[in-house]
Amino acid sequence: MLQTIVTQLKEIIAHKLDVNLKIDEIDENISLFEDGLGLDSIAIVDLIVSIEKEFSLSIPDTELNADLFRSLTILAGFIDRKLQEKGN
Amino acid sequence: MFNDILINNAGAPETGKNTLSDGRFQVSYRELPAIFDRLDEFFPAFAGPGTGCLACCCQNSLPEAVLLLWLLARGRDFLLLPRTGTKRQPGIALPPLPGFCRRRLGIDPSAPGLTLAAPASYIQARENPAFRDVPYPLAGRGCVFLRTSGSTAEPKLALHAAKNLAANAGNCRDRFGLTAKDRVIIPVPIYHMYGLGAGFLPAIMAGASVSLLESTNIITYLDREKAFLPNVAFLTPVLCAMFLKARKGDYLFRLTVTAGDRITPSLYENYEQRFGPLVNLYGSTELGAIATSILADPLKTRSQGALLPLPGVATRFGSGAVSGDTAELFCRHESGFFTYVDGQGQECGGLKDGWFQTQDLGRSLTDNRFQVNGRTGYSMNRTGLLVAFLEVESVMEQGIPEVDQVAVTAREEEGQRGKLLVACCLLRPGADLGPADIRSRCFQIMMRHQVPDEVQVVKGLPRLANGKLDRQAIARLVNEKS
Repeated sequence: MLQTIVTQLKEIIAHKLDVNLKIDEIDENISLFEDGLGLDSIAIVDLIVSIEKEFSLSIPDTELNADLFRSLTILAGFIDRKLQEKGN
Repeated sequence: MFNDILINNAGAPETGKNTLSDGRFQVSYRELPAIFDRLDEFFPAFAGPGTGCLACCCQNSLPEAVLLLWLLARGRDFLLLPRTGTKRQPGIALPPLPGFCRRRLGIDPSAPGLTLAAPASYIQARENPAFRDVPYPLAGRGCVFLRTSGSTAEPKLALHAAKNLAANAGNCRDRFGLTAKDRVIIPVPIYHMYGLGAGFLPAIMAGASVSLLESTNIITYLDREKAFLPNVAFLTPVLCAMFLKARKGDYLFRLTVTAGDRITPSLYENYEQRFGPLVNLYGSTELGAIATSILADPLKTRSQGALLPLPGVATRFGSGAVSGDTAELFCRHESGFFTYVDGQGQECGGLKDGWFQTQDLGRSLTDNRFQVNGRTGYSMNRTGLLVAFLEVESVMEQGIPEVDQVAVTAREEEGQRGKLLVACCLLRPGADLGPADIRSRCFQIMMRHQVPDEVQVVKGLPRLANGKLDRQAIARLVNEKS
């Protein structure tokens, strides 16, 4: 499940964000910010909005923090937990 | 005067305990004099003998901000620059240092073992290989050079006397009502006039607590907001739009200031509804803060762009109306810049009879207010930075071998970064490169805010009888296609 979510995130980044990254260029283990994948502030916001739409989630401000964006793997783990909470 | 301000902040009970921070380091105004003493001892070693102009790389880390304040407090001459380069855009050449700068001072804020009280632990000085011991205006009198924004070619340097920067900042402190009770968050760069002259220095003059944020992404901002609990924020329209888009909850600021781009009325009104009073500031690297919206005016008046000049500012409009009652705006500021200077320290213009040609279009309103509507010439603001069409064209023509000629224009539609930038490209004979690939190359050879939103490959570019591009025809064609 986690790897599926990572793949979905890569597809969002490559196809829905204006960041000039191809899927095979996206390292799931590095930061999403400027020191890693290089997503700028506008791209980060678009990513959050796309995640909420793609996974039918609502992510409150209080749950958004820099640690979640240290890698796609970490972000996918967060999404997985949110989906399980929603399922429960 | 900055020295006096900081000494006063250190000693006064209402300011001494207030802090400057960046999320990693924190220092109180009371602690600053001791750090400045260490820099006084260290300076002759790291910056070499003599005085002269230094180039100071400074983004929004506390060590860099402390060095900046020390340079101001000690009346040093310096050029303010961003920290160098990004690894994602290795193709972009850095502008060379001006010849009159002897050394570049840099700080690595992530250096292990960095201690503010030990300058050797974080400050590096590199010789400028192009240094020439040439005179420059206001030398030795405490002056600050700022690069005009947005350019990757050799930009002009706007020379400010430190005392004028202080007066400019005092205007902002007073207009925004900043006091020692405020907690000011600044996620915009302090190497630009907005972050420096309208945000950081006014907050320092007020003795407010300040939190500097290096990255303007919403995530790091939210982390900092939870920890620092600001009541005043210096943002840009793009940041305001991100707040509205990404934040679920509201947060009430005493005041938000925005500058750098045009803010649409709906964005203005929606932001203020959720996050509290919003003031739009109009200014420039050359004149500092020129005018702001006034909270006493009705929201509709403010959101439509009505601005009141700051003290010491006069405005007038050019004689030739561009359309209707819109004409080019000229400003005069008692505390504006002294002159432009080139890389060799030579004055190269700036003011004509004391007036500055803003290259912005606007119109006069009632009650001494005015409104800014856009840019003259072929440029636009995107995410707070100036994009000159000629520069984008030149970078594309030189950086993409398959492209012969480029004409850049704006589409009237608004995107997330402002109006849409469209590049019409004529390929070299035999070249085969599609719009998506051309755009992809642009990410490698220019700054992000300059990357066209749309690329078109065309068979020809309309020209005037004198051979120059017919930009009006190109703009019409692009906007008709949308």
